Amino acid sequence: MKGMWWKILGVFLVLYAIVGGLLIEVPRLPILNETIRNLYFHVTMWFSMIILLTASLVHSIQYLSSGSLERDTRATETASVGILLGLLGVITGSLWAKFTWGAYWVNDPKLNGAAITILIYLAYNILRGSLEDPKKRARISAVYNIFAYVLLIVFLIILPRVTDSLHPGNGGNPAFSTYDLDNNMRLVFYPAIIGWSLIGFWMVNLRRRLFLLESKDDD
Amino acid sequence: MGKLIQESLTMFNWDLKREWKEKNSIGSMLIFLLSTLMVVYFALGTQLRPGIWTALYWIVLLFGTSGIVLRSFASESKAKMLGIYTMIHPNAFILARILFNGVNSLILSLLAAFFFLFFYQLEIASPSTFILASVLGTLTMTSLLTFITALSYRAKNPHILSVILAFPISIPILLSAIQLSMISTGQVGLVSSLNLVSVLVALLVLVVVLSLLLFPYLWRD
Repeated sequence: MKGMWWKILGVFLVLYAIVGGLLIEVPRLPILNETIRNLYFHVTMWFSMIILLTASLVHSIQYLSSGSLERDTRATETASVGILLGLLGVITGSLWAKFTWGAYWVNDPKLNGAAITILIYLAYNILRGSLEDPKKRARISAVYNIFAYVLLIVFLIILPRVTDSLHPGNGGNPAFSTYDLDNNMRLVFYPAIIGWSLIGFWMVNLRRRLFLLESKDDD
Repeated sequence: MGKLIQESLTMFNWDLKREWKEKNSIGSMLIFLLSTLMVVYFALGTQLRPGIWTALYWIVLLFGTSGIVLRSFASESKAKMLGIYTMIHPNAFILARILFNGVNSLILSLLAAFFFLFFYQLEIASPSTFILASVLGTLTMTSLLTFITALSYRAKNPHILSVILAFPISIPILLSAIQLSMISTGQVGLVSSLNLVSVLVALLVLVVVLSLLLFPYLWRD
């Protein structure tokens, strides 16, 4: 049981987010109506994605300073799980957009930001695929990971400011912005972020162990 | 610091001499520019809306600079690289490369602006904004491409790889530069040109600093 507590906590928090997210009273806002509940899933998954990608960055920096291949495995597995959460975020957001905006995909800076984020980490995987020597692959992909992460964050910060967005909270749309996110919603919102992140790190752990077993098989 | 600058200037001179001897960079730039202009002329005539003008101008700069950067790395053999490796600090190498490609790209943007304004009349409401957009946009773009191409040259298929790796992360640069040049043609943007200029300057500094921090890790082989 030792060392298990955070996994149990993760499962519990996600269950709580699903049950609470669907049942707890939410503010009635025009256009959004009941779709506001998607905040508990779509937005929290994106927050967790950023947390995981940041963890991946930290692993990459640690790889460059220590040179241990285990760090490299952690960096790449964390990035993969982060992107999985990102894809889920895109899917939930897309479903939400269908009911609020009337289309699955519209030209919106936040959607473009999502697409670019996924493209960057696809490029990261392509880079890893084209390098065979494990040490070299670890070093070069760590360098790209750091470089791309910094530019991605800059991009996610400046993009919504230089273009107009349909997203709630932008361009006068009814929003989940600070004053609309009432205290009831916070009760589910923050635990959900922690829950998804914990489940994400659990998945990273499983993938890393699987990778270790597979590489032992090869020897 | 002084040694770094001295070494990068030596490297820069060396690149410049090679370029002077071969003279292929300026020639290919001109051919690329003129053929693009011909295609645009055949398809659209000489009257272009500011939006289309800006789009074409930045397409030319984007592909032109990636050509320049790729060429600067293509002429290097393994043996030559080993020679450079023993002589100078990695940061001097990447700094000199960024400088050399930057100068080349500035020449390209100058030529592109000249030809585009010569053939397609366009009212530029604020020339200083236009110049800032072109200079900062090309320099930032070139620095990013130089670093990413140096990185891809450590892997297989560097030509394809550098495009795949550079494209998604170069979007913020392109976006700010294009918005800024749209403002210079009299369009109203969502943000002031001062904000966009500071974003571009910040991106340029960021890309150069990251290149200097990370390039030594690529160098060790």
